Amino acid sequence: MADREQKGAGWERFEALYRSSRDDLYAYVLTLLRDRSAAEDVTALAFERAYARQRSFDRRRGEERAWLFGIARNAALDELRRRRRSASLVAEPQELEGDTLAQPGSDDEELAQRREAVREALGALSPRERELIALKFHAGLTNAELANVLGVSESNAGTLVHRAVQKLRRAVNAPV
Amino acid sequence: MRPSDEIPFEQGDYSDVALMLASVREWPAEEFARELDARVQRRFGRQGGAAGGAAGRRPRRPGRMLRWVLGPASAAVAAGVAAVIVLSAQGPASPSRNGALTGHGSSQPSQLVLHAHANRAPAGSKPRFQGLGAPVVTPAVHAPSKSAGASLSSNSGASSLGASGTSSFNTAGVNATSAAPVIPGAKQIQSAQISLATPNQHVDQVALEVIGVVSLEHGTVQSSQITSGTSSSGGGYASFLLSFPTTNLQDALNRLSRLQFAALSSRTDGSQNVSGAYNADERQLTNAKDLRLALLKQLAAATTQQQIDSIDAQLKLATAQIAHWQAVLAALQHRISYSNVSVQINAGGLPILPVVHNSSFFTLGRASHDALRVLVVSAGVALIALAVALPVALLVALLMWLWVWRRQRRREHALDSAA
Repeated sequence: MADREQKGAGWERFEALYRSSRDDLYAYVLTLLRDRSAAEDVTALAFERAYARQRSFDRRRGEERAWLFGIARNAALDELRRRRRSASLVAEPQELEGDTLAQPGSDDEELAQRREAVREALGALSPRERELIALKFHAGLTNAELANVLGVSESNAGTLVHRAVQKLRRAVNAPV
Repeated sequence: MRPSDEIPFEQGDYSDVALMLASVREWPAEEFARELDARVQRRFGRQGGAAGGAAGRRPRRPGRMLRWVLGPASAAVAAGVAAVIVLSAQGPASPSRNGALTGHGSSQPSQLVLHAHANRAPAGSKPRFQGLGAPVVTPAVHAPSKSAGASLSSNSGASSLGASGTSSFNTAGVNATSAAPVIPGAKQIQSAQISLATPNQHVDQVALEVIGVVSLEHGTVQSSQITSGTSSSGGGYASFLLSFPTTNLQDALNRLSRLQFAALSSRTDGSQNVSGAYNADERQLTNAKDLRLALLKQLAAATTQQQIDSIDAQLKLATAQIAHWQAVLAALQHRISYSNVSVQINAGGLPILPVVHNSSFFTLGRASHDALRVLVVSAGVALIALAVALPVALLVALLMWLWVWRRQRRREHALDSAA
């Protein structure tokens, strides 16, 4: 009986985590993989793994959200490795086209140009910098959680994020 | 700007970047979101759950990795325990082979090692000390048997021993009647090594007992060394190099194996067949004698002074050769007639007092003795198992760490090369 209640509470917690993280996780994975189809697969896989490993979660080592993004990161990096191994069988990662993206709200020409500039600036960043930006702004992780996911110290994580942000700012504001 | 100046604020400082990124944020397609919602509602049931690609792979069960890690370690522990059990099981089986040290000589006569346990209940119920290596004292009273050596010799196969063949019998804790094979009619040099264990305070008494045996069996002490230990934990030591007439060797060994204050730790009987060397030396001596006889005849027939001088010189040479070969033969004969016995007395370790079972009924002393034996054996098993399992577990842990480190490194490399 108590076991069933515990399982029920665990499921509710996982469902809440899923609801609050689904879109953010997808955005983060897509930033890493730059391939919608692969990002969907890896997002689903990350949630499935998280569900299977619920019991291995230790709150003392960080928040559930950071734990989930850690799982997603490993899954995404494994996907990158797999893609590298079968490079000849898989097409080059598709660049995300602004026209095909689902964007909320209306858009005018200036805004479109601005978005394009941001996308180009993001594209100019290294994969690690893009990952930092995604973890910070899409996942909304604190520096401590970010450090936990990346396996670096908290201060180092903060420094890395700051540098990436500065680089992004410069790239966005750079004259075309 | 120094790196320390670059430490940013957690929030607020990046609001412009957050707004900028929100405008280009990617959102999952509605179809995918619906499908994933459905899978989550089904709690990732297998039916239709595989989305293909990476997501289609079966997730790992929790604890699978742990089992993978612990699997080899537990297997190693099990193997260690099994090995110890097999080794310890060989011990108790041996006492039933009391006096049955036959039938092995023909297969491997040169190096035969028998493991048996002491089967020597004290006839006079004197206090005897049983070494740790000899776990069982059976109630059977074993009378010293001089015929044991003979039975061994008849079964060991004289033909399998070469002219200069040697054999060695290591009988740790064995009854005192076992001996190296004796080949009838063969010239053999016999020797023995006996290792005795005794409590530290009894080293001197055991040494006196050894001297007593030497006197009784008409032997001689060639060298001796006795060190008395000062502490009760050990340190006492004595060693003797004894010489016994070969005819008394078995009796002497039996007596040395049954000393009152010592337990037999090991006994090694050795024999070396020197028939070939003895016969060769004898032939040389005969040849020298024949030569001398022939020279004497020639001397009697000699007519000139020159012939007499020449034969005289050869006679001196032949006489010297006869003396040489006689000395060689005498030395060899002495080694055959007298056997060396090396005795070592080691003190230390807590001896376990044997219990003489006078009946098959349950007694408190018998039960406590059995319990002590079980504890000692269990501790030994645990220790050996630990000695096997610990390095294996460390190795597995190291390999696991290396594997995880390497995998993580590959992942990071994949990210770096994704550009």
